[in-house]
Amino acid sequence: MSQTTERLDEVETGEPILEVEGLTKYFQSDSGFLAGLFGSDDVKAVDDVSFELRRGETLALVGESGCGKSTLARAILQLIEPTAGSVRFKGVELTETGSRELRPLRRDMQMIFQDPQSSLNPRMKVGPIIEEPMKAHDMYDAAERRERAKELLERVELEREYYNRYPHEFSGGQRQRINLARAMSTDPELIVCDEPVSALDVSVQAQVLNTMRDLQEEFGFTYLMISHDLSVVRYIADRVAVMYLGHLAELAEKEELFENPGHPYTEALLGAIPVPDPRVANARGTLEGDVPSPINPPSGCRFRTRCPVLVQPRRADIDAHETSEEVDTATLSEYGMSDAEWERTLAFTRGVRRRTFALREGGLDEEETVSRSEVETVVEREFFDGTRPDGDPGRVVEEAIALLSEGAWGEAGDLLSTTFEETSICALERPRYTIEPQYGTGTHFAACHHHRE
Amino acid sequence: MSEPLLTVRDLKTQFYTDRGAVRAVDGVSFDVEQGEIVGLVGESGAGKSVTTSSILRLVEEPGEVVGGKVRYGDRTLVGFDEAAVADEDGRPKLVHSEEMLSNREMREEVRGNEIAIIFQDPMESLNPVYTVGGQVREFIQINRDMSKEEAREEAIEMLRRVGIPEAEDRYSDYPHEFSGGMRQRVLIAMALGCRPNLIIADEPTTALDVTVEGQILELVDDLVDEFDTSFIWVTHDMGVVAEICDRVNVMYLGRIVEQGPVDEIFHDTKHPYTEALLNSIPRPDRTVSDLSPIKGTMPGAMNPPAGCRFHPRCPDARRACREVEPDLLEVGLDHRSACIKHGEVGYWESEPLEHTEAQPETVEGPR
Repeated sequence: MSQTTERLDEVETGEPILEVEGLTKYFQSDSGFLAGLFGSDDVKAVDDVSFELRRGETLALVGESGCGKSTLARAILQLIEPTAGSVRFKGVELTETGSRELRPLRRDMQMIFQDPQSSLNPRMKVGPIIEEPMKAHDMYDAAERRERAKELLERVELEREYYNRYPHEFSGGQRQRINLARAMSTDPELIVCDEPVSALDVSVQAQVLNTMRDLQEEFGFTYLMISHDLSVVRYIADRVAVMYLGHLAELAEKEELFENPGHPYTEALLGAIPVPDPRVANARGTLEGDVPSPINPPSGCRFRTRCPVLVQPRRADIDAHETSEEVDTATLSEYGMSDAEWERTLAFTRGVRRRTFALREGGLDEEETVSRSEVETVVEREFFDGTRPDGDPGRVVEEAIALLSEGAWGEAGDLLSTTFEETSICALERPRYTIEPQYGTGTHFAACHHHRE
Repeated sequence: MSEPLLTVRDLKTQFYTDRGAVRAVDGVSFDVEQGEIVGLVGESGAGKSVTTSSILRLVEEPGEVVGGKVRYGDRTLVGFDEAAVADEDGRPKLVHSEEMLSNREMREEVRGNEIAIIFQDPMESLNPVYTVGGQVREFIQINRDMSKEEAREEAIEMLRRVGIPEAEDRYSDYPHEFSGGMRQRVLIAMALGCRPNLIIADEPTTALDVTVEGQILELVDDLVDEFDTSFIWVTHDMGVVAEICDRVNVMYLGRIVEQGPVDEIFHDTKHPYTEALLNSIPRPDRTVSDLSPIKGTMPGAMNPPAGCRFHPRCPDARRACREVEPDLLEVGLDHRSACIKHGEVGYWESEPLEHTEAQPETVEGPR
């Protein structure tokens, strides 16, 4: 008890200040009164995520909307209660610490939010806004707090005289500076920044990022920065963690992650950012489909349903119709498709599952059917182009075509999916690998089965 | 070169407020050729969106298009003539010219079927109580004069084209059942289904994740190839501009400060604002150790700075910049810059402005 009310021992720069292990947060998707009766499905927002944050560094947490990055940050700060896992801040286990004991620790952990418009109380003056956290933690007396607030305004490159003004008098960039000053007021060690510059105009973004950097150098802050903007991340972060649908897909030092990405999702993400140079051609739109629902996320690697390089499945000596609930991966034998055959078979599987093509131009009426040879032609043209696998996979493709000609899209999709997707190692096992970095010496974690021996 | 598809000349739009008139768009001129993507780029408050709504005459009270000319093919969307009678101050009064299309003609002959607009927020542009497919179908039906059944088939085909999975099944879904990216694709399907010649896209990918944005940019490329559709692409993202635009107009505080082919805008930049903007953005493709932000913020359009509107933030500003209003000057083939550096009004003889004098907002560093 007494140890937590006192300030904890200093952590050396470069040593872990925050250790997150197996952190998980499920939300109940249905809280209605019938939810209990039918057993509600949980939204698996964050699922078994582990990493550590070292003192003085900036770790960026990137991912697209809905990937769980903000939930993860909130669970770390105990703003929401984690479902499982552990969070140790300077050696203290936060998940087991009661809210009263947590309070003094919060002084060392502050947060900055995305929206500079709504994160400042419009009825309070700037000075008291900055003093609020100090007051809450009973730090200094009134005069000292006032002086400190003015000093902080200067630190974030605003004016001492702004102390008596209201938030509405400031531009977005200036408000974000006020937020920074407020976060700094308790002299914290960790500042969690949730999209701190994404609401700002580009020219102002750079101003705020530079200030954040200068302050880090001066005061040794540790930043956990949540962002969807990889350009910003490349500028400000030391290490980068990529999240996809509640899982950590990859974590590496910045240069390593951008120059030697070890996960197909990271690659897709990097390929999609428009480069501000017309002479640099970017691959862009290589990723198909949408992010699946976190209520019923894909097994194994969560990215596998969209992954352009899904590992070709091996199959047990069973009939393709049987769903393979428990498959012993060691007993599986290769289908032995060539890379081109596998790529096209996978495209066909997904095409059927998502119904991205029509069996006949202009669509069909309810009762109408199409002849098998007609479907054959469409499928050949859209997907295979002469490169059809033979043997077992070839027979499954043929069977799917037969089902399509009867209009049984669902069955055809299921057949293809159970044969080609569900038996891939990507569906059977959650990948966790550490790979050899090409840039720098830091650990490179990549959750992709392409790295298995 | 043949006649441009769209010509905008000296377009002016004002908003009337209690504190006076705000010149949100102040003399904007540019062309759009058939089959090209023209970028309109700038920070918030530059007047990009007001420009596009002025072209389509969608500016609402208290705003008004007060001058200039917009021609689309042989039709006049916006046009003014001097009236026979002068106003009280003896200045010639402007009245809408005779050849300017009526509101009804704009609605029935131009908007939707000739020029379509896609807005940033797909939730506000779709009606939540009608099915997605129904809305696309209706739009196509009205604008292309099709039967309900034909329009339905076309709608499904368009939804599929823009990458909506299971388009036939999802036809009868409601907007809230679609993700943000899918709703944006629905709006694009809607715009495309009417086979317009020109699509005005107002920050259509800004609210989307990068992978979805990538998908949509890819789609736009395909459409230009296939249908020869022209685009005016409004954005603040120089990356998107570099990626898809053929020609670019850079706006600052109601004016175009630089216009030219995309490669020249990025590699032979002629306006200090464009230059500063490019230097202030972080790069995804290489690690930049230091960004140079633009100092201060864009002033309000109510009282724009005299002379060049960028001079208070411009690193190259000289005394003459406070006095001379720069015109767009030819600086290369089809490349113009509104900076007096390129003219003959004594920029080089003029004294550089003091750093502090050039900045209304003092931004002093801690060190």
